[in-house]
Amino acid sequence: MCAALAQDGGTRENWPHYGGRESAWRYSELSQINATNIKRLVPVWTFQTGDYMGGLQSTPLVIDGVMYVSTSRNRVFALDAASGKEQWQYVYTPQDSAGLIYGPWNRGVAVAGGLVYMGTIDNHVVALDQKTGRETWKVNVEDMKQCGCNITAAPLVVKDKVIVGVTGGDSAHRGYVTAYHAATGRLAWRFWTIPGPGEPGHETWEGDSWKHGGGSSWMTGSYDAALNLVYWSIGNPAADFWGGNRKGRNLYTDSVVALDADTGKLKWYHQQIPHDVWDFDTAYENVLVDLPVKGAMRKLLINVNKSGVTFVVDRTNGQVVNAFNLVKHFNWIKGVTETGELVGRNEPIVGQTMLICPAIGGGRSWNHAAFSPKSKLFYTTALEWCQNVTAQTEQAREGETYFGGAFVMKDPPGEKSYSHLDAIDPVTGKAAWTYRSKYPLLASVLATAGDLVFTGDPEGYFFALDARTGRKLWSHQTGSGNRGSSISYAVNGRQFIATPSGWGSAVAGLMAQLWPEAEHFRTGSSVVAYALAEESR
Amino acid sequence: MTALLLIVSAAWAQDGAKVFQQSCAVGYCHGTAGSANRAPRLAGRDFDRTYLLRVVEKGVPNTAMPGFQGKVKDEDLRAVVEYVLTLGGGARPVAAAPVAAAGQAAPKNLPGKELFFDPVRGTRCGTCHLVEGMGTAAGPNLAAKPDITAGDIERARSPHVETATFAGDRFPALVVSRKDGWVKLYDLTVAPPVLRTLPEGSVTFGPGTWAHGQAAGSYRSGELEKIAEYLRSLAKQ
Repeated sequence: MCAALAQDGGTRENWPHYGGRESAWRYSELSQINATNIKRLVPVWTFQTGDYMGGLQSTPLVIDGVMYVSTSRNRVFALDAASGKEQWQYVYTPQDSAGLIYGPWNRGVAVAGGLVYMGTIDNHVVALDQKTGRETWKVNVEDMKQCGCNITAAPLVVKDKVIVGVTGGDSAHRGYVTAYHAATGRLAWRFWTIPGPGEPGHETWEGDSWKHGGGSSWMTGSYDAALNLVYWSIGNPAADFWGGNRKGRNLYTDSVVALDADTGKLKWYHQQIPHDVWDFDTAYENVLVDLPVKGAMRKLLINVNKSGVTFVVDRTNGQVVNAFNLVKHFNWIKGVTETGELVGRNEPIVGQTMLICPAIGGGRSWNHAAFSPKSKLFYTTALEWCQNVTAQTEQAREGETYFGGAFVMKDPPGEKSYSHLDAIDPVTGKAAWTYRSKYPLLASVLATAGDLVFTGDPEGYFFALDARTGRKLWSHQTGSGNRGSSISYAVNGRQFIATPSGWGSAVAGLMAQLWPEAEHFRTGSSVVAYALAEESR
Repeated sequence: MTALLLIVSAAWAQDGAKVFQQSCAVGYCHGTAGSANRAPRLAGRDFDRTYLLRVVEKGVPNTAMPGFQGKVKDEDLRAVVEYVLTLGGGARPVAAAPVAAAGQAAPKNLPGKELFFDPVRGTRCGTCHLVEGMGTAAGPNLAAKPDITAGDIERARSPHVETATFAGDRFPALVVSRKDGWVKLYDLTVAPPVLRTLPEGSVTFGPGTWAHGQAAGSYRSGELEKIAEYLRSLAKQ
């Protein structure tokens, strides 16, 4: 028996944040829909956004019965969350839409203080009136042609600030996390992910390599109000596959950084991969959970690295509590120690073609895991695939791609590529169950108090598993592959589950090399909402 | 004549393979030999040469395909087109060799242009001015000033910047438009400028006190000389 969790990270009527709550559990306390009655779960409305190119990667938010959903090209819709009826829409006109290195896609908005915030495909941030969708302010973070970056992640609102990250890890670019005053759009602070001259950590970069060293901040951070810390994941150094001109640890790439929410000052960092040459970003969600470790409650942060290696750290100081690997097929390292040290690095060699596992698409992609305080399990997808990498030297060209190599997707030795969703103990990594999928699982996971785990697959099936056993209980064909993040909410006492449907993304694009039929998987862009049929409630 | 063209094409295609390897095969884009990643598969497809060249030069609007005109030499763009044409199933070119050894010259910019867009500075000219399609168009167009000098930049007056008062907050503002009861203005309190839309009746305006020198202060006068030289060169184009 362990003590009841003091922490409250679950959502209820509303789904107010990208990750559910600022602790990013993607867990709903609602249990009207549960493992016993899920057979009676039916679609109750579908909303077509019309903006289908690139699919739909969004996490819809729901606040007081209104759903806010953003699309690949930064259209934003406010919908009646019970009926799907449109209340307003906002159409964004980019300054210049040709030549996006990343995108077009968008992973969601933030809503607070009467405004709806969104990062854009051309690296702006906009704030919209929550009632009407009228643009209230707009700011150019940095010219996207210059940084070779833009914003695909949902912003994070913390108190009176809106915080955004940028893409750019595969460009000749120096990354940052930026906070704006939420009411006015005025710059509040910026944390450069690569220290400049005279700053601690600058010595971990060779010569001028820091100026174009990547370190993007392309997913949404988490926030611990008690510690007043924002946790952000910093992506890979550039060039991705070649590090010959950036000898050193390359701080703070491939690190989780803890920033003071008011000033953006670095409180601590934990670098997962010093001097990365595999494009294994630390980019994904930081799940903040308090759990017992060896008898003592600890404030933990769980982060899945793109390689599939998962780091559990003490979120008060960044000290590693445990590290473990989600994937079976890996050879980029021989292993990782409990203290998070990588053992036996297998680095790409310039001019040689080497089989590296997992592939650049990751041992997991950015689609989120979920944590259930009820089962105390962490539900995450994982990908088993490899690639032939040929590293090459490369000259940085500001704002242009800076990859240092090319790759061809390959199956793992002796096996066809596949994917799985695992229910694991978040501290030990020990699996309670595993669900196997033919194709990569690239949609986020949702866990609910109804003992359910939801996710979707590339063929368009949105499905529910028993959170305790992994047994498939229900599925529904949504019309297009799932690459977004499902949520749960309630309106007037009725629980809903909603999922984006719409196939696309960079990683989805890699699939055709391994599964030729995937080249013709249909795209789309819709939100499908489900509830128990009225008479069966 | 035809034979000569074929030879030229073949030579170009080999050069194009190198360009393709560095600019097109990389990352999540077209993949090694056009085998497809995020970007469309190019191998095994028939393309029209004119179409390909247009796409390579101009990009495809609203997609991740950038226009490479001005970023990659024209002859390299033509070479890459010849290479892509060979991927249609005809003669395979030799495998692409690693290229661009470290130290190879990057496209050379005028020092003034680098200063104008210097990413290391918190505030640079490009934070408020749009030139050559980059930056933010809050400040005036600087690409049509054939006689601009460093002194002009240092001493620039900003007669259009007013002091706005909204909800008890006073700030330097540059009005962009007034329409249907809404005023659009750039809030210049801190860089970057914020384009705000406020209800017209609730904003009052007074004489401006903002000085351009505050924004240009991160540059030394020698650097301003180089920036002025760059701007003069734009005006002559």
